[in-house]
Amino acid sequence: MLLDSFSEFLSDLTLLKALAYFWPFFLIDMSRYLLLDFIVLIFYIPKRYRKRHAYAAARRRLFRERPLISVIVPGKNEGKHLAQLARTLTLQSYKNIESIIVDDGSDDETPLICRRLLRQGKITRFFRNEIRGGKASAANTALRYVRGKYVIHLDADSHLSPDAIEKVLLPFYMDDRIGAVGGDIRVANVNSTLATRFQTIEYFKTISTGRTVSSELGILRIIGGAFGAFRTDILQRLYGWDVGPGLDGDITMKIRKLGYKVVHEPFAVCYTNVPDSFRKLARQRFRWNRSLVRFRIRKHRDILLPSKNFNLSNFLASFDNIFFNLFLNMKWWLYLAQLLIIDPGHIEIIMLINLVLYGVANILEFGIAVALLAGTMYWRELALFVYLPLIPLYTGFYIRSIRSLAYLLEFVCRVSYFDKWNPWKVSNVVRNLE
Amino acid sequence: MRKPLIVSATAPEHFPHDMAVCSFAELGAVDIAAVSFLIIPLEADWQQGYADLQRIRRHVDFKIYLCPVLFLLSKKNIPPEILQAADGYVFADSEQLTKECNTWAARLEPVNARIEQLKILSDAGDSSLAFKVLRFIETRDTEFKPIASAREQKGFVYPPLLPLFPKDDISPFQVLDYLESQRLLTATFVSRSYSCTHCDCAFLNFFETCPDCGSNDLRSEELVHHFKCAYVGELSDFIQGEHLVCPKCETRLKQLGVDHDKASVVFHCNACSSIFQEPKIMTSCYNCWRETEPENQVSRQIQAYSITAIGMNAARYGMDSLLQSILESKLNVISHSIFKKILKLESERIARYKISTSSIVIMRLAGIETIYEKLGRRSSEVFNEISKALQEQLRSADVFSVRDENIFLILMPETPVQSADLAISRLNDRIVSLLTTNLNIDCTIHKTIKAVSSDIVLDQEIEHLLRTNAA
Ligand SMILES: [Zn+2]
Ligand SMILES: [Zn+2]
Ligand SMILES: [Zn+2]
Repeated sequence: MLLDSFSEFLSDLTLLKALAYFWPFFLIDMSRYLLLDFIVLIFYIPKRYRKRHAYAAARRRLFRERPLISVIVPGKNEGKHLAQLARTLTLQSYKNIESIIVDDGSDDETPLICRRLLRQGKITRFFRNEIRGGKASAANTALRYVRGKYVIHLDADSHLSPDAIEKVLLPFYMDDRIGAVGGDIRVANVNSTLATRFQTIEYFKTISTGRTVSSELGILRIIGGAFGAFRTDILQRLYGWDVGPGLDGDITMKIRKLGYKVVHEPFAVCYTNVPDSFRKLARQRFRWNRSLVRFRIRKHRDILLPSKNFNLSNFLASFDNIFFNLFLNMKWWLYLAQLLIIDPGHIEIIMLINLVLYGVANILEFGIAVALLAGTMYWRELALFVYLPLIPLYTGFYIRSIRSLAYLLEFVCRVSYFDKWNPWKVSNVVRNLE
Repeated sequence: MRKPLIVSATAPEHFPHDMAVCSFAELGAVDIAAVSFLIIPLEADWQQGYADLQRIRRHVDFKIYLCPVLFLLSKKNIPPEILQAADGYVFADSEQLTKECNTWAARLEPVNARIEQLKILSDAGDSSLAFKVLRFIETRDTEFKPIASAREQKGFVYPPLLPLFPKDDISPFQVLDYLESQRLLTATFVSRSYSCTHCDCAFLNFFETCPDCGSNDLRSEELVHHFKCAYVGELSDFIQGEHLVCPKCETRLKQLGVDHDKASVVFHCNACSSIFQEPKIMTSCYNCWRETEPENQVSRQIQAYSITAIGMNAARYGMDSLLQSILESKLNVISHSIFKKILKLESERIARYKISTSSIVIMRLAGIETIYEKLGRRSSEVFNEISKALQEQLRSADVFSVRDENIFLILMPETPVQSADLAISRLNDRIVSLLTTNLNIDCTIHKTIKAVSSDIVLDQEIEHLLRTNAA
């Protein structure tokens, strides 16, 4: 039955008809992501190979100058992760590092753990704010006391591969217009649960490939807080981070506005622990997505408006983000409405074909990621290809639903201003301000 | 009816003329039973009067050292711990001095009554400091509370007890602790104080130091968090004239807790430019100036003491020395009088048959008091060791007795002096090494070894031993 109508549907399909039925895939997802990634990386991978001597020269300059690097780790109740983080810092190929831990009002044994690490000389400095002030204020506390030429911001629950700091610094030594470099973020707890496996694949696509491509196109809009390197002078000029959530994207935007380049370095690898249940993941994404509305559209709307400071790549960076996340999120609901109105009889077939299309796209995307990162991928990561056919369900339904809900709530109720992310006193002040 | 007696080299200027005066040297000849209390004039320079009080309290005759003492004051500004060292005080210029003295006599009557009940335990007087303290506390029948004093190195002092103590190296704290361990006194908590681990001085300076270089040249800065822009910096970053202005967003700070707060404090070391939040706390001693971490200083419980029923009994009829009771439980210790009889029989036997020699050993363990004064409750362990040493060196035929808890008398029948000397040397070495090497207690053993003969008068020999080694 289904098979009959399926072949009948396919034989009827002309190019125009296919476009009409599957426009979201062909016009948007395939062209913005798959095709663009493919085209950019076709140029990027050989370019990277050609520039290997330039990288080697940059490395020599870095090790000759040997500047002090300040690693700052703000956090609350993260004590249990810090011993491992401190250990990966001592294993770095680049050695001239000071580490500054800021405890933002933890109510567990974090201060005890930090004081012990400090006594043992495993961290350089430890600050504790007895009253919680929020993540931005914790990072700014560290920034007030950094002595290094570059600041590397790390999340406490992440750890670095042994050459990560060296690799993330190299772009600064190849181009002085670079103000910040994002490190690649990969999943540490790959095989914990199905949720962590899906996120591993997602991170390869959106962070490793996605940010490398954005970076190549000059429209990178975020240096992740989990692993980001900044020029200290620029951070000090900006007086550090603003109130979150979304403070990473915010500071990246501010650095771009100052006229500096921001780039992604896919070979500087940081491993982070991701939420291991779909419930926790939903909560995390809910928070992330709300910040898009708040920071891109409310706080940095000047980028989108014509003015004397107008800058095309800054415009594109924001526009790309707003368009492909926010607006295209809406397109799905339009598409669904279209199918229900025009051709409700073929809806199962059309959905099935969509799943196949997106499945194939995901396999190709994974192939691109492998081509880009091959040398730095583990077998446990490569083995995840068997889960690829399921990814359209994960991104198509699960992630999309969370995103839609988050945008809706943020537009209507400005919930992020009531976020538990910040202490109430900070949220209160900031809400009355914007 | 008992009468007050003024103890002074010269008669004080103002004093009731019906009162008797005697010098300290004459005190021994006075019929103390007729004295209600002693009066010591305390001049503006109180040292002399206090020294007189010390001489009275350090006497060996309990009728003298326990005798109530009042100060006769001519000035008012005497330090409290000096004033409280006596049983009371009267003012020389008081118009009703005689009447006040009578009131004091009535008030001190129970003390005198308790002194009368005490037994004379030895012809030589009370030599044990712990025993003297016990007797003093018993006769006063009150709780002995320490007072904080900047004049005293230990920070706290028991003013009435202090004159009993002859030297600085034996502290009232250890003697009281020992007496409490013997359940002769009970203690109640008053306070807790830190004192120097090197010299026991209670005057410690607590200060913050740099954990990196140890300098105490530190500058502290408050960290200010501006809520609106999340800037965090030192208070001085915000100061602009008379106002606090955020350097990041250039807004003037309004009210602490509303738009900003003070998240924490940061220290800067001026010596090594280190930055930290937790300075290392150190202490230095005002006496020896050594620096020590607070956790390594001695934390001492300061207590008030009062006598127990057992203590009362011990004060009246003699405190069984701990060593003596341990020795008695382990060795066959015979009483002094029986020892004398056996010695007499032995000397007659030797004089009659003239065929063998026996030896008499008189041993004195000088410094035995410091053992419990230094070790307090742990003394019994040492005493057990000493008695074990004695047990192993003595033969079953030897006759053993103890006098005044630190004089050992041993009669060794059929033993020439040389052999006795050898045995006692071994014993001597063992005890000295135990005390000096292991515990760092300065202890010497004085001994006399003689062949038993009818010429020997035991008490004279003991007296001679004590006298020759007293200096
Ligand atoms: Zn501000
Ligand atoms: Zn220092
Ligand atoms: Zn000292």
